[in-house]
Amino acid sequence: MFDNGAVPEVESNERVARFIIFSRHYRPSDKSVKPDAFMPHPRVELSLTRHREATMAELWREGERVAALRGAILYGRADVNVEAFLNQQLSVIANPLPENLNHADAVLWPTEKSAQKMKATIIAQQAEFVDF
Amino acid sequence: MNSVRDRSESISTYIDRAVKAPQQQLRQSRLGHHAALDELRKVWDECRVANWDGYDALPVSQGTYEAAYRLIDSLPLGFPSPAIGAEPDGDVTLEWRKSRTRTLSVSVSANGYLHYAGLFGLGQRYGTLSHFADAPEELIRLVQDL
Repeated sequence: MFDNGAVPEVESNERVARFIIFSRHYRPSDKSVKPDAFMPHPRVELSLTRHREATMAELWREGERVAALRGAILYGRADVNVEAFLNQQLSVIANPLPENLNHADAVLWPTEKSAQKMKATIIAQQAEFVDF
Repeated sequence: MNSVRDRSESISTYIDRAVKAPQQQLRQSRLGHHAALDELRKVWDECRVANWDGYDALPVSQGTYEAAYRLIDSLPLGFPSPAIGAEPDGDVTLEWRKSRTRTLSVSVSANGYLHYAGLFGLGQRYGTLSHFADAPEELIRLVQDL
């Protein structure tokens, strides 16, 4: 993971993860990801974890931490390139948290819900589900 | 007079039962959507608490559950059944998917609006529909266009 005080800006060729805690956010039949997993709420931003400078063990540890917050099962993660967000006129900005220095947010979502769903649908189409 | 009223009530009860019983049987058959309604119940059980997705999701309310129930129950018999999910703002989602490039997701909330977005091959469509009781004709057409 990044060192505190040395977190670079997000680059378009990076890969980011969205942890899947709800079983119906992915389709077990073909391991695809549903748009529901990429909908921004409650703030109009989407929480992500950057792969950059993170080992797989560190990524999964963060996923387990997110799942443990609500005593839930970690099913896996949805990996997607930052470019998928940029192509939807969104921005991905670094937002390191004390518990997750690799944390980032996808921002600039439209406020209209169906427009959010359309962007989430296209991004989900490009995501890869990775089993925990 | 009472016997005339009693007789007319028993006739109307008989007719009502005679008409509704086959409808109920059809709804419970493979043509109905009871499997989707069961799935809806499971989703609501899992998502009626806050933070059900680990990212501060709002709970799915009873009003939203009931709106989704009515919508699914009003789908025509034999119509494709949706897969059920939920979104972090507390809406229930209904998804119809034929392939990676032909998929429609509809968000159901308690306020009577349906927000949808879909991929139709090379095309995309998204928008909002009003929903008061039965499934809107436009929703039926969207699914048929997949």
